[in-house]
Amino acid sequence: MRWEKVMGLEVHLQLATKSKIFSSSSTVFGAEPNSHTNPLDTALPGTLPVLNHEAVTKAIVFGLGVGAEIGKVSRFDRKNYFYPDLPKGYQISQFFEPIVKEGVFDVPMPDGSIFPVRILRAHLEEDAGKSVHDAIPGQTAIDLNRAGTPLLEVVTEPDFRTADQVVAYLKALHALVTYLGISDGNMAEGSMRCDVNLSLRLEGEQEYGTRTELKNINSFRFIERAIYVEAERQQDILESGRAVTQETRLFDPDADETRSMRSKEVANDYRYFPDPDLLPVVIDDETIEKIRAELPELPTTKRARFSEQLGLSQYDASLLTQDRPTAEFFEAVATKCNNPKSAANWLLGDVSASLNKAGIQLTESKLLASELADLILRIDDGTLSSKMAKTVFDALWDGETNVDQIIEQNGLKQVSDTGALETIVSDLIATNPAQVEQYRAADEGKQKKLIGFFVGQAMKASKGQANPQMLNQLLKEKLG
Amino acid sequence: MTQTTTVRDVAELARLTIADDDVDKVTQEFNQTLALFDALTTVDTDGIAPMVNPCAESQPLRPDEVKTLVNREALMQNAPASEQHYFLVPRVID
Amino acid sequence: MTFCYETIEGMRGKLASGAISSVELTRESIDRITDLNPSLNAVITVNEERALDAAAKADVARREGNSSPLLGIPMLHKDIFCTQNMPTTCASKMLEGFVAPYDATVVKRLNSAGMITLGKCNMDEFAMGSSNETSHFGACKNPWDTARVPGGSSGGSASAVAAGLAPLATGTDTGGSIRQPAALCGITGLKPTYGRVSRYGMIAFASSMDQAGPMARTAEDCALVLEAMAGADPLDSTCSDQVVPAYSSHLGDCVQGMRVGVPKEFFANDLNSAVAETIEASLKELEKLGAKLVDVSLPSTSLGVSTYYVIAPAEASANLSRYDGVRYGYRCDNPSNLQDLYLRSRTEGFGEEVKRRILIGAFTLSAASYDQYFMKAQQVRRLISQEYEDVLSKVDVIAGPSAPNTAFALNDSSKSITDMYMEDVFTIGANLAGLPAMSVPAGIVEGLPVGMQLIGRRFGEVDLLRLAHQFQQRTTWHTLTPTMEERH
Repeated sequence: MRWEKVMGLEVHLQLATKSKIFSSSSTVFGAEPNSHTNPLDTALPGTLPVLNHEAVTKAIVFGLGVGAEIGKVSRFDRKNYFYPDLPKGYQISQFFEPIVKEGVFDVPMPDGSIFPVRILRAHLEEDAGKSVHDAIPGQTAIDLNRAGTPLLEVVTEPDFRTADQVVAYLKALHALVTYLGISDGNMAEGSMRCDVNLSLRLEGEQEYGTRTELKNINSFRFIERAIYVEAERQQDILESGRAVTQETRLFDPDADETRSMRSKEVANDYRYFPDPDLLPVVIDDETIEKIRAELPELPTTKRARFSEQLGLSQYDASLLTQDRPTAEFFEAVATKCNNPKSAANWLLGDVSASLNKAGIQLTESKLLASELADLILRIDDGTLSSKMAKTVFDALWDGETNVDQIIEQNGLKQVSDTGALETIVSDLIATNPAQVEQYRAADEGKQKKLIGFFVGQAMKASKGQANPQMLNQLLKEKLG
Repeated sequence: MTQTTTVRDVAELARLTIADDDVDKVTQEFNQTLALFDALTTVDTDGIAPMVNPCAESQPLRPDEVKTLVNREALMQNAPASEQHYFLVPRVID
Repeated sequence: MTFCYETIEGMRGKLASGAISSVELTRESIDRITDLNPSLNAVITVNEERALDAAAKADVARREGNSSPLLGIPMLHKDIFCTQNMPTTCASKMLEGFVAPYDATVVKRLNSAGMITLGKCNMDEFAMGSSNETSHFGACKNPWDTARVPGGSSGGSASAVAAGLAPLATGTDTGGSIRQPAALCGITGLKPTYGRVSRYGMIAFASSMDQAGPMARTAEDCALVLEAMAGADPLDSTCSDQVVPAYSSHLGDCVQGMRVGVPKEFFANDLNSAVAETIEASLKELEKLGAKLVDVSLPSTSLGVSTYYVIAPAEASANLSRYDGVRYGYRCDNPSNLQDLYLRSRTEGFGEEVKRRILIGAFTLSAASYDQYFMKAQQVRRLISQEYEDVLSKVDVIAGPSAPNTAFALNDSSKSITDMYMEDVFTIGANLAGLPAMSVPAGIVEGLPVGMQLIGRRFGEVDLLRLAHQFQQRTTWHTLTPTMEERH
């Protein structure tokens, strides 16, 4: 029997607004407990929700980013349940009429293919607070700073069949939301939370099996593992003739297993009903078009443009478009130096390595796009050899700013003057007759090694500034 | 008509306890009120949109600005149990 | 000389002329509360020091030229409005001792207008009731007969104004809770259009129907207060930004030819015949004013109570979930775990009627019942609403009784729960449709007041107030006061 995994994803994105969705409290992370709260967030009697304009805009931006239909009239509903981090005893969400309806999100796979994911809907809702279980002994401590932060819940159809697809989707979603500036989309920090609905069915079957929901897994690695482990668990159950229980489960990475969530065991009837404190959210065409006109270029469009117009490989284009700062940096460099391939190589090579080593993001480094472009220009016009270029790069990395000045001050100009090089080569040949003899007597293969001696000597003589290509050519000519 | 178990189920949903002695009385009162609703079943509501509230307007939108209306101390002044600026409940095991 | 039965407008004149000061008015009110409240139980909290302090400041302001109509006039708030300076209990054990860290918008506005808050009035617990008998702080008595109820849920407010404890008390009306007690206590009460007055800081019962309104001696007083209370509030999404007319300037506007619809269903079997006669006499008075009586029909009247008692408890069941013993309010002793905390705090903190309504509400919202009860009721609500709208396109105002009976006896064990619900039969339509409605004193039957109800179009308070005002210029029912034994 061959089993097929069928998965749908629900991703909660924290929207990057300054204030909360229904109150004017700050959304900034990491404040002292209960210091980013207003009467509504602590559900004091008599308080009322008022919708944040920016949360609506960001939801529309997302919808347009996945080519979805925007719900011209959407409503808020109350989802009722009791938990200490849910102060009102209900969460304001959108159950019946979401703000974003159906769309399709094209996910680029690592092999270059496109995997289209059907978005069922995306809706606005408020986040809950935090329960801290180990701050005070014997008690659970409730911090409501997070309560009321705007969330956009993105729900897909059960289109996923492999963990790779899931991870690719999450990466692409991260890229999209950071591009659009609507969320940090950071799984580790909790601004992007992924729940996986997973069921199995026999290959070829049309009907869906019973699914379980894997909640709140916060890294790609864990997601892959959780999917694998849960699929195995379900397979064991089904193959032994039993039925899978529909339930919510947590992934325990230490035990490498999924566990039923005890607190959610009590059957919950959420008693959804339209929230009478909020009126229908009406969005007109004019608003949608205005937002559409101001959308930044989407990652998919950029990726296509980088590979088609700028001649980059799909792979490089993908890497460079993973986040907006990198893409914009790359484009600025490529435009100024007119050498996209070189710009790509530098960014994906030395720049990337330096960033990793320092543990910082591109936006935090001292390197400017215009400086890198200048560097490439000086390589391309022959001023710098690749070896010297690295020296200039290091200087730029450390915060120096003028490429020409750096070259000047350090005497890094490549010697490409044929006259000077000829003199050096002639001198070398004259003063090293034994090596010349050896070279002339050797076969082609050995010659490739022996030329190294002359190259080294010439570099010493020129203080490293000899143009290597020209030097090689001259040596070959003169040595014969 | 609702049975005793349903009233208890509803009570649990609403986090209310009905004492054993009171169950019958509560169920009876519950059913009395339910009976009041029978009149609604006779009404033809085909194609009628449910009315959530009488307002004709659409939702006003608030600018995305941070404002603190009340300070933390005042917000927590009525807390039955708090420590280190947290609200406290008996420890929950997830 | 006593000013206790003076109207706001009357007090304003005397303050302006210097015949009396705010401090003296406030002093008199406080003394009267001390005297009479033990037998009425209309007031839960009094803040004497603060009130006198505010009154003194008002007197200074007046001397300095501030001539606002409400400046320095004493008043009471129904204990459902959050006030920073004194507890807000909603007449519940759940909120006993709760002090809100902010003022309701209504409170802020009346404070800004210079009114002096004496204290908070008794009410049915969480506004659920029609007799003020569900209060955790004990029943409130009707000053006209202290063996009888004042009505509810704004029973304390009605009783206080009727007994001259203050010329104004705020009330709230979700199913008739301003109009019915106003009728039973012989005073004037107004429920504004849903969305006319901000609900911010007003403890929620049924969010789609709750409205705050003035309870006073005259329509003119209600107009003055509504002007100060009403208007846009960025803290309440359902509060309209429609311009607030200067209601008090339009009281004398012409009522000749105003069409007054009289629904035949309001005069059917459940109406006490003496009450019916009284209302009919009042309708004749309206005719004498120049209004034209028109027979109309509101066939869905009999469905109103059922519809309301599905929707209001459902919304309330969610609104009251926040009372869980975690962040404020009553917490049970030594909770052993989280569920115990919830169960005992809520079971011990809420009274019986509140728990009944939460149960019914949670039930009608539950998955198996939603379509059949809740959604159905919302559909019927739209039908009722449309019916009122149709009628109000043919007439300007609808008139009829406010309540089916006069004040009934306290602890009337013959009244079942659903009997109590039927008290609201005439008032409920206006809440379901979000329309403004008033009760004005219309007569006395066996020593007990009767109120006439006027219902207008959305944002049609101007019509209601001027018709009521001119009715009050022709009649004297609103000037009658109960005889009470005063303790000295």
